[in-house]
Amino acid sequence: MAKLIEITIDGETTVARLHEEAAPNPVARFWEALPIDETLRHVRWSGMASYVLVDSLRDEAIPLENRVSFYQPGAICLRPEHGEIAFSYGQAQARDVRGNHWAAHIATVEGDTAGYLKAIARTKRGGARAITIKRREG
Amino acid sequence: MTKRIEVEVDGAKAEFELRDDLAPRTTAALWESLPIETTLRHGKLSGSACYLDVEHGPIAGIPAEPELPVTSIYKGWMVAFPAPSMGFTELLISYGVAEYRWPTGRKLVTPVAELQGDGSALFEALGRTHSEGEKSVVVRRGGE
Amino acid sequence: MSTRQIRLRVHGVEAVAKLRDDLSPRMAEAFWQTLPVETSISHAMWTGSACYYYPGEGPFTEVEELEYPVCSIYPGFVVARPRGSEVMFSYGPTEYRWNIGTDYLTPIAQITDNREAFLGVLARMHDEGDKSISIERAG
Repeated sequence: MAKLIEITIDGETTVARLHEEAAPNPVARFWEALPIDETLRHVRWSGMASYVLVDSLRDEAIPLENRVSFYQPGAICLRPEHGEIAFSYGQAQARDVRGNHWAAHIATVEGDTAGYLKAIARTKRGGARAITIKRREG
Repeated sequence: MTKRIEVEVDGAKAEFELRDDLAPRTTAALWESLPIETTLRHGKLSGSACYLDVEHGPIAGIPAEPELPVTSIYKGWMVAFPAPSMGFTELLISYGVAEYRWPTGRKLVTPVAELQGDGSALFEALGRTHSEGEKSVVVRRGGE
Repeated sequence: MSTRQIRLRVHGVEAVAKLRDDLSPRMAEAFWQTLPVETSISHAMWTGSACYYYPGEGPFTEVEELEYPVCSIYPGFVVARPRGSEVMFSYGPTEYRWNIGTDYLTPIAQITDNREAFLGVLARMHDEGDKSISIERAG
């Protein structure tokens, strides 16, 4: 049975499905890191996405399974060299000052995602806000 | 107090302010490496800029990762390209439109110093290297 | 000719900048003609440590050429795109980019006074979101 997570931002909770078959190692490390309570900020290089930094996921040994460079809206991607988890709401790509990079696509939100995407996007003009990610048990 | 350096090429001198607000480690290494007396050549790929390779002093061994990564070299600025694996750091000074490039494309450098006052004589001297060939350059400490 | 200056204010923090008409004479003049400006600035999402506003219609639209092309925006510099679709302020590492990749703009001003504090308030926008900016001719 697929692992699911719950993401809460601005009082709104959304469910995402982990891509365990496509990215077993990054997903396993991500699952271990939960729950995550962090500050969500808008990206500065990668376009229409927000991100958190998680120290325990900053590990270049985590392989880039289910590798992507471009992020689709609703995708959740991990860049292990930074311990960065990116949440995309529109056109986005794994980038930094050095240029374009790769990330592991570890999860995708499902169901009615409109509120979630708007909440992610609000960090651009509204600034940073709290985000909680936890395992959906049962 | 802001440190200043002086660059002299072909009899033309100009003073630069070390931008330690932008690149504290790189500018400190440069300061400790002065004076530098070497050969200045015109760039082949980077536009209106000249370069000097520094093989001695702390600046020659700074880490490869640029402190403040840029590719554009603004007119009147000195930038540093560390190449520790090759045993030197390249310093470039722009007198016009310039962007640091190799045959494989743009590469990152760090801005270290900004021209103060009138640089026209120095710019002319730098520009002359394009047609006249390499010249001697001295980079020395200025007033502190 | 003395260098023209402008005064910028964001969230109560004021800085003075000089026009860089030595690098971009037409674009700097167009910028001067748009002043005073009071608008909202946002943090960049493709370019790195920078903030921007959209000037809209006005003198900028008549300057089509890229007078001094740069893609890196040095901290403390103010830059503009040809036809003035965007004005940006850098506070740290930047490279001007869109979704399609790297692009070029031209420097129009450089902060000379109270730079550290002003760049600090721009940096805070990453956490705090949009802010108001006013820009006027100084001196």
